[in-house]
Amino acid sequence: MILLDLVWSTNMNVYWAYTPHFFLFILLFFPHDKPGWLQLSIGFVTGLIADIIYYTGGLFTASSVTYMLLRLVLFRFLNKQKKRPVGRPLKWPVPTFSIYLFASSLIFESLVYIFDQTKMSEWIDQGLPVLIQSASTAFLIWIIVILFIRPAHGNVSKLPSL
Amino acid sequence: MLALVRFFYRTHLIWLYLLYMSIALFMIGNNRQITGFKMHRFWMNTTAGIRQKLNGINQYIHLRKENQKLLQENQRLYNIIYRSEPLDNNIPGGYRFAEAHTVYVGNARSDRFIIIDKGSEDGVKIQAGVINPNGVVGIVSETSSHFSKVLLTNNPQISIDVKLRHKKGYGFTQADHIFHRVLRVVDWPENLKLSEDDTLVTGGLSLIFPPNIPVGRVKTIRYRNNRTEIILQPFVNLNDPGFVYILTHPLKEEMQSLIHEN
Repeated sequence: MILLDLVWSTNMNVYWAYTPHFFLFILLFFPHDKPGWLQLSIGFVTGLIADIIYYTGGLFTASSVTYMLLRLVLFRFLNKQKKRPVGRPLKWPVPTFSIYLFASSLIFESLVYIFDQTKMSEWIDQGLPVLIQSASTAFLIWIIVILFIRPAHGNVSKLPSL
Repeated sequence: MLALVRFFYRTHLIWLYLLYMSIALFMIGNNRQITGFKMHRFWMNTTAGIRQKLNGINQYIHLRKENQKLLQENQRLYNIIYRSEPLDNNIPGGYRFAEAHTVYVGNARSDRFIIIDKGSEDGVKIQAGVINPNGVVGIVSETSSHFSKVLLTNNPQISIDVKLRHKKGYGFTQADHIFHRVLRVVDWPENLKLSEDDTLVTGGLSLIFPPNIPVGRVKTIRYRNNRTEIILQPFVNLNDPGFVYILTHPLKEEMQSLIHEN
């Protein structure tokens, strides 16, 4: 996924300014029932590699680690609410899955902007670019998942372990 | 020790997150100029703010020592001023000042006084004048080894000679029996016109107070039954004079012995 990011999306631009971040796929669909320290470490490593590729100097590292922490808290809360483990996102119905995908992209891109600008007022001014960036990322990941990973008829047995 | 280890184990995710975030923020601060500058400025402001608070607390803790130092400095300066300034009546020598604290305030209508924390062992004598930076406080009436009783200016037993600065002509203060926060001035010369807000100072007729120590401000002047009633508002807060200075003059006993002989 990171190689795909390196080769493809760095050369891809939406409106000449926004680059979708495929490495987000790893963060979004990493199994949430794995140990917490593993999830945070995966976020750290993924963000670090993305920083090296994009020369962003720590932005993606900070955003990935923060996003993984938020995701950890969210899934633990959901598991407690339902009093049973919540299923993995790739097994969710398409509408729920789409909302999760878009919301996660939005949160991740917002975190990138927050760590970049360090001032909420500047971040609010950048609202539209954040939306477009997260929409581009979410849309491309959605296309890949729907076309290549989720079978059109929702055949559960063909779903990957993610 | 075991409890500490258990605490760290239970909160290991938070510590891990903080560790990763520290590394990431360090990378951001080093590699991104604008963000790094903002982070540096935030850090400087935070540490400056914390240092300021700590300094404030430190200064507050040491206030007592600071106050004592200032009192002693004031005492030294008063001594210098009143030794070098020529007195109106050309009495040689000068007043000596010693600092003291008010430890008790007695507010009975007929006996208004304070107790200060200096007594006969500190050289305080009966009929020594007591002032504070605002003006005249009162006169020492009794002493013990370590404390002294000072009758305030609004005590019915006290009367102080007052005058207008740079003018000759004297009046005397008396306690007001109804309004104990003000003083009356009696025997004021008819040829000396007073107006409201004039400042009256000590006349220096006795050697209790040197001349020109502020006593009060003229609050009202009333003309009744062919007499002038002058109401004086003292400058000193007689409910709590705070830090005070005791005045002594080395020649006062000599003068008083002559008065008693006569």
